[in-house]
Amino acid sequence: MDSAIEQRLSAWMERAQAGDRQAYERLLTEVIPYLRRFIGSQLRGGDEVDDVVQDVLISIHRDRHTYDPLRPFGAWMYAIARHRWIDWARRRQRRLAREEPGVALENAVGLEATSPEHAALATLRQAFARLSPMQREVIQLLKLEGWSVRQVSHSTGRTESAVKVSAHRGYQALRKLLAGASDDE
Amino acid sequence: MTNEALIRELVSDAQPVHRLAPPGRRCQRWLLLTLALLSAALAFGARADLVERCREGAFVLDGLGLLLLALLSARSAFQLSVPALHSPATFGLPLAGAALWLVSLAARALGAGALDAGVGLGCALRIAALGTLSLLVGWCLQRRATRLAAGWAGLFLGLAAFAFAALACRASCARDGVSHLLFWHCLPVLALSGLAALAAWSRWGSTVSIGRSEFSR
Repeated sequence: MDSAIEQRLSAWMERAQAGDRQAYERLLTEVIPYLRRFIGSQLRGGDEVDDVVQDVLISIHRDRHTYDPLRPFGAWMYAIARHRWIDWARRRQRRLAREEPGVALENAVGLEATSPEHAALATLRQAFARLSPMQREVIQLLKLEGWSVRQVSHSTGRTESAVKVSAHRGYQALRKLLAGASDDE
Repeated sequence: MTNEALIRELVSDAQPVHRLAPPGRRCQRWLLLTLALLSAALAFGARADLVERCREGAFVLDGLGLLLLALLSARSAFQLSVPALHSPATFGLPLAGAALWLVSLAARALGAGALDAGVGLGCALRIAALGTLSLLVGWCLQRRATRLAAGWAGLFLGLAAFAFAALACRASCARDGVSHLLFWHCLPVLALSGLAALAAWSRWGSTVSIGRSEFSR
């Protein structure tokens, strides 16, 4: 965001704080492309980007009295956007954690309950359920949700190295568990 | 809802707002009110040998550690009330203050006869009562603050309030044993600050699920 735009947005926000609705509408309309770009760099899906952007717009509205016109508008706005994105990622993580891993697996693979591969999937589901919660979470996000290591690291609060180690150990454990299951058969 | 529709709703809800006072000014107000509160509390129960103890290095270091912890935590709590004002120092400096306080206690442990534990329920209760009053004043000053990082802001405000209360308690409690200080002064400060963080998080931090019609709260 260059300084001319920054100054314009700052002036509009100052007027919006005083109750100028026209300036406020201009401001909110103008910031959307910046927010879409910022949130889009963190996410993949278009609908989800708009959901988070709207959360950010609502937060800007609710917290507009905290903006000080002597400070850069961009930094203020991006700080709100970053927090809203982190909140969104946490909500999503909690939602995923509530889902049974096997259901997500079936959804991802798209199998019918009567298909021949269903028994193999049941074995995989049992093996998956025996992983540690951390390994399950990391593998689910990386392999079933398609998140990058960086995104998982950001969302779970672990370092990227820790995410990689968890995933690696999870794959090894899955391999052993599946090998044991095939020996039993 | 489309972005355009949301903007229309937000604009129709836009009333003039009273700008939040800068964090530094609110922090000063809180410090003045808290110091007045603690001074009033001290007027009724300072230890008899306070002036004499103030000439001892370990006692002064202990007090300075607490004062630094309280001031740095207060600064961080109020900085976090406005988006984009915080930096790594916001989180690091209060921890450095806490470390200095613990180091000062450790230094005291090296002194002779310093391990007198004693029962100090009164100290813990005094810290809890004074700190809670100061915390409530801080929460009033923060009520219009942004809800980003609410847990951290609650933790730092709690550390500031209870560290000041512990400082006042230090000036009235006649026991100097490190076990007593750790168990009946330090532990309540940390535990109550943790509770303040939890309270702030549950009050403001967990309201992240913003419904489309809730923006005017």
